Parts: sequence; C-alpha cells; structure tokens
Amino acid sequence: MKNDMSIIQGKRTPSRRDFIRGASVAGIGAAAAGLVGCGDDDDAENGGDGSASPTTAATQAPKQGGVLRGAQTADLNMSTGYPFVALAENPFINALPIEPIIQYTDSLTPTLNLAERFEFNTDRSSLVVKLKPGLTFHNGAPVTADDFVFGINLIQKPADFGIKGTFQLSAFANAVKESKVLSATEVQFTFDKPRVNMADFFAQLPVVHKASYEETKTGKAINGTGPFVFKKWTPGQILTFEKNPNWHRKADSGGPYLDGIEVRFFGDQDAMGLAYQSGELDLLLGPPAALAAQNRKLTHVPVKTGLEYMGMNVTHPDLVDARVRKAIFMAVDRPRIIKELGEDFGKVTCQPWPSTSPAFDPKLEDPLYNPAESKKLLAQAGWKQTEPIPFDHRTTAAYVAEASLIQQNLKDIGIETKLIPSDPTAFLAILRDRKFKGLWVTSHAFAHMAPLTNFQQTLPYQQPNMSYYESPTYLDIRAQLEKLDPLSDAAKAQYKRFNEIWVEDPWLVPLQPNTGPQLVSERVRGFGKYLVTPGIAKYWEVWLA
Amino acid sequence: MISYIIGRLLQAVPVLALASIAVFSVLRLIPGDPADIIAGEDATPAEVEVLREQLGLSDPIPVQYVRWIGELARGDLGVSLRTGVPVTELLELSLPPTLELAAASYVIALVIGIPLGTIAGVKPRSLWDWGLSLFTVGTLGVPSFLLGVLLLWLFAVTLGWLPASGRVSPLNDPVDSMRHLALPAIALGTGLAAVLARYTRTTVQAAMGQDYIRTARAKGLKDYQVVVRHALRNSLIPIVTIVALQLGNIMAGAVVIERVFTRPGLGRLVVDAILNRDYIIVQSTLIILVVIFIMVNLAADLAYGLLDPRVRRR
Repeated sequence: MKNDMSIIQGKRTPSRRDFIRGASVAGIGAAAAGLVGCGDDDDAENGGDGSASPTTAATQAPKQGGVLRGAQTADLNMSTGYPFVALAENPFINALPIEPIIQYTDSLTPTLNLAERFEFNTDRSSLVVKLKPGLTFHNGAPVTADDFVFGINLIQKPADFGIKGTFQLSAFANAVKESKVLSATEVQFTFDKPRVNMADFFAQLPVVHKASYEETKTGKAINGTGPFVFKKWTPGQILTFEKNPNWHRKADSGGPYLDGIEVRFFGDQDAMGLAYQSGELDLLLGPPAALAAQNRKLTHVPVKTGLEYMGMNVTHPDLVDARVRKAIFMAVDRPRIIKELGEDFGKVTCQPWPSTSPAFDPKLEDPLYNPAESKKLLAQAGWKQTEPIPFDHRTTAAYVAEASLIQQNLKDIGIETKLIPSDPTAFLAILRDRKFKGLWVTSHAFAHMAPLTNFQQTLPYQQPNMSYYESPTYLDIRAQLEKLDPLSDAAKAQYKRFNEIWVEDPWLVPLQPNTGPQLVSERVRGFGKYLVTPGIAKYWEVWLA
Repeated sequence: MISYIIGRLLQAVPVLALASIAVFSVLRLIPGDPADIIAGEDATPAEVEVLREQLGLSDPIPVQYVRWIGELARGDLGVSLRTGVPVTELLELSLPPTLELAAASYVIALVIGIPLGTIAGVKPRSLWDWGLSLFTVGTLGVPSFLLGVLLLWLFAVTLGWLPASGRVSPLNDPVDSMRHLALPAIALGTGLAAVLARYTRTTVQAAMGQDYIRTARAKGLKDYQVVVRHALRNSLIPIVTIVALQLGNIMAGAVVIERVFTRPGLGRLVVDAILNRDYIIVQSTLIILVVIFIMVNLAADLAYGLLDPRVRRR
C-alpha cells in the first residue's frame, strides 16, 4: 500500500488526492442530510443551486457585530450521545461550538484544525496525533489528549457514560484498539488492522471537555473550541451562542464577525415561514419550499451528500429480473419531482455522487427518464403482474406526494403498486429491520466522501442491505475498493463498474438530491459556504449588513 | 361546604384513574416506541432491544403502568425518555405560557361574548341580534388555526404591528408579553366568545320574559339595573357551566394555536412528545391537564353558590 499522504503536519497542505487516500469514513448524520452539505468549487461562493446570491456576491468588507436570528423545527437532543452522534435536531450545536482535529474544507482539501500533526504509520495500522499548543475550551480549560480520546471511549462504550443510543461512528471507533497518550497533547492510536479510512473518522470526531461532559448531556454546557460559545438552551424555546473572542483560527479567518447567534424552535414549518416574512428571522434551515421559491436569490442549496431514492427489494417476485428494475429506474420522472415537489431547487441527478466525488459520472446527471424504453424492457422481461407491488412511504406530506407521483409514473408503464403509508417512527423500524416487501422511498447521505465509505456506512449499500441485493459484481467492487487508493485509476475503474451496474442492475432508483434549501434574510452576508466535513456552513464568515 | 369540596375531590379520584389508564393505553397503541426513535436507523435489532430494556419498555404493560402511577403518587413526573430533561422542568417552562393563553382567551371571550349576548337577548330580532348572528356564524365557521394564520398574516407580516411568534414572560416585560399574547389569544378566544354570546343571548332572552323582571320594572328600576342585576345574574349559572366545560376546547385549541404562533406551551410540548413517542412527557402532562380540568369544574360548581343563594342553602 502506498503511503505518500500519511503525514499531515505543520503548514503542509496535502493535495486533495493525498487526503482522499486516507479517507473513507464513518459518516455522521444521515438524518442530518437535509441540513448539512459540502461545498465544491462551484458552490463555495454561490448557492448550491448555482444561483448567484446577493448575500455572498457582495464585495464589502465584513462588518463586526450583530446577532443572527436563526430557526429550526425541532428541539435539541442532547442526551443520546451529542456531540458524538450527529442528529438532525442539532444543526446549530453541531456547527457552532465544537470542532474536530482535522477538516475537509473546500473540495475535499484537508486542513489541520486542532491538530498540528496527523501522521499514519506505513501500513496505516497506527496514527499519531499531536494537538496544537495552547488550545483552550470555552470554559478556559486546556485541550488535552485525554479530552480527545474521551470521545472515542464514549462511542465505544456509551453505557459507561450513561448514554442510551447508538452511534453512526461506532464501527470506526471500535477499530481503535489502543489509545496511548504520549504527552498532554499527543496520542498514538493503534487500529485492529491496517485501515485507510480512519482520517475521515477523525474529521468527524469533535473534541469536547471531558470533565464537564455531564453538563453537556443535560444541555447545561457545551465546552468545545468552536467559533461560537454555547450560552443557554431553554428547551422548546431558544438556544443562544456568543462569539468566541479567543477562537484559535481568528487570525487566519478574520471571524467570527457576529456577536452571537440565537436560535428559536418552531414546531411548525409554516409558522417559521411567517416569522421570517415578518422580519423576525435571518436564517431558516428547511424553510417552506414555496417561501424559498419566493426568495430564490436569498436561498442556498448545499451540494448533495446523497440521494432521496426509491429502494427495491430484489427478492420480491416481480423485482427479481434486472430488466424490470431498470424499467422502473427509467420510468421515474425526475425533472417533474424536482420541479413540482421541490419548487425547482436542486439539480436533476441519477447518481449519489456530488461533482467532487471521484466516482462522479457526468452522464448520470441526465434525467434518464424514458418510459418508452421502460415499456420495451418490460416486454423483454415478459412482464405480468398478479397483484400490485407494495410501496412503503412515510406519512409526511413530502413523501406522500413523492410516492404518489412515482406510483403514477409506474402505472404509465404498466406497473401497479399499492401505497402503504407508515408513521415516520414505524417506518424507521421497518427500515432498520429491513422488512420492506417491495418498494419504498427514503434518503441516504455520505456519498460526498470516499465512495467506499458510502458503501460501508449507509444502509442501502451495506451488506446485508434492505434490498437484499448481493450481486457478485457489487461485492467484488467493494472488496477491490477496500484495497485501493480511493483516487487511484484502479479505484476509478471500479467506480465505473459500479456506475454501470447502478443503471443496468439497479436496486435503488435515484429520485433527487438529499439536501434542501436554506433561506437567509436580506441583511445576511457571507452565508452559503460549507465545509465538506464536518458538513456545516462556515458561520464564522457570516456577517450582518 | 368543606365536606362538599372533599366529596367532589374524592369523586375526582376514579376520573383520574380512568384518565390515566386511557392515556397510558392509547399511547401504547401508536406504532413505534421511544427506543425506535432514540436508536435511529443505524442500530441493530439487538441494540434496539437493549435500549428498550434500559428504558423499561420491555416490561409487561401493567408493570409499566403501575410503575408510572407509583412515581406519580410520589410526586415524581419522570424524565423525558428522549432528552433526559425532567418533566417538572419542562412543565415549569410550558405551563405558564399555556395558562397565560387560556386566561387571556377567556378574558377576550367574556369581554366580547357576555355583553354581546346580553344586548342581543334583551333586544331580540334587532340589529344587535342580527349582528350577533353574523358574528357567531363568522367566527364559529372559521377554525381557530385559520383565524390565527389570517391574523398573523395581517398584523405581523403585512402591517408589522405585532410579533409573529414567541413568548415573553410578563415578569420580564409586561407590555411585550401582551404584544406576543394578543394575536394567539384573539385567535383562540373569539370562537369561545361566539359560543358564550349565543348561550347568553338565549338565557337572557328567556329571563327577560319572567315575572321577576316585570316586578323589577314595576319597582321602577332602570333598564340596565333590570338587565344586569336580575336578568343577567339569573342567566349566569348555565354560562358558568359552559365556561368551565369550554376549558377542554381551549386546551385543544391551544395545541394548534401554540404551533401557529410558536408559543412554547403545553400544547407544543405534548405534540412534540407524541411525535417522538416520549411516553412519560405525554402521560404526565395529560394527567396534569386532567387535574386542571377537574379543578376548574369544581370551581364552577362552587361559583354556583355565589351566584344563586338557593344553591348555597342546598
């Protein structure tokens, strides 16, 4: 195994190619997919939908001061493992007070953040991390190797820390067999076997003050190192942050410019929209689509991190034949989904990969909507149907609309389906237990990282997956990728193989990108730039006119 | 009187017991449980089962019920299964906004409904009476949430006179508190005002035909004295009953109105808890609401005595 990027140290900035090689990740936050995103070259300055935004196009120098008034639709969830599990309920506390030791900033380019040294051994079975000197948490306590290791220990044994819940990062944390603290700021990790993926794990692992973690669990304090300091959470009402005047990156970033950020919790999306229209809010994560459409120039769409997709259970008698599944793939009217259900935000896509991914294939950005071809494929497969295919979906309005539209698309080519609505909680249980009988619609994230990570981390690609899809070709691709540099030509050949079976022998049908719009007010400047990992907006660059 | 109150409180015990069983059972009928939500989609079935065990959800339903009732009897309302925040802490935050809203809605309903109904009852088939009919048809025909959205759009979004969302404690800023309360209270109180006005009109109209009204007039009392001291006072008992019974509607309406106006009250707390299958919050909060309902109805019974000396004598 080559190891030409195993060291990230000091001022050296590894190439994107270098970094990807070390990255394959445990992804954070499938549920947060709609709230987080990643930047790419095109989107660093503009809304992800490509529309120029006055909020970022302005050329004035940033102004200091002011409080950004944000909103979210769910209350916080602090007790099930925050900040080591990324939940959709916590978009602001995931972004503002905490940081990992390394980050993917723009276009998968890595930067050292809290670490000044990040060095794998030759076969990548070991890693040495040295923290920057002089780092302090928001409460003034020094950042130590013990604090860093604490997060890994907690993910490995949450019950020991009084945590109920599971962690998306547990597979990676469990790969750490030994954490040897070499000094107050230096630690050596030994893995269970050579692992090329671990950089991504550390890019998503925040560092918080171990001694005050009990207060974090109850929402009384969050002592991280981020650009904004957590001040107070009043459940169901408000969450407040203040600028961190001592932020360790203040010198090179210039920010944070805002004096603070306050976030109010709205139980109803439309009420949030009305509050925005009355001038009470500056930032809406997940605004009503119609409101976003009315304010297109103030709306940003983070680059996709995955897909909304329709899954197919390949063991269903009607779905065994790959030609039938390909017919379904080509029968879905993706442009209509984007236009009618998404108010024309986002781009039509037929692949999970964003343009920054080494697996990205421009040809899969076409709609691939061809009902005539679908009918031909069904005829070739000798299509006969005795009863409708069960089609599960959540009872939330967006999924109901999406499932209904697809049902009509499939009817147009002669496939009957029976919609089965489920309460979101019940749907979650069916999904986790892999009990979908025919078709279903949901979403996944993590396709913005190394493709192997997506295969390992997300439910629809894992083995076993909900589709019970296990073609020898797919299994071989996965096996090959586990041994390959993610950016190598050999890996790209495997991605090409994958993209072929993705269409020819599909088990998932892409519907639309998984990221939704984010709306700002007229006075907000500098919003619309995102870190790749952790997938957050660069709030320290935001200022108020 | 004291024995009467004690008797009424004892009657409340079986009501509370039945309510607790109903609340507890209905929640268990909803598909999915807190472990499903806390575990998320990445957990294995075994991990979910462990979580269920930790949360006490693997025990038989009757065992869970008895455990909960035992805790309630000790004054322990429990802890949110999802967030770990004590329910008492959540109630401290959520109860005042809801009580404020309910009280303000009642004030609006009484201030509008009783005078309007009284005038219409005294002057049947007059312009006042037709006006009342128009008002009741208009307000009862428009659901409170729709009225709330219309008020929001007009007074907050278009005119910018009042805030669109949130709540300010009257202890911190009474004026701003009233500004935040005005629209939701109007949205919730108007429907109740219409109901009260209709009842008042009917009872006052009936009273105006009674002998004691003719006697009062014969004594030379002025019209307003006849209406207020005799007709209205004798009409108040059924109105008090309606006011007390409408508490349930007010609370149900508050659930919706609090979401429309983003007031952090009990309604929002309960709805969010139901969506998250946070059994403990829902159970404890609903029991608190049942207690409030019982107490208000007891207060209404006691008010009969104040309004009618014959009741006191009985």
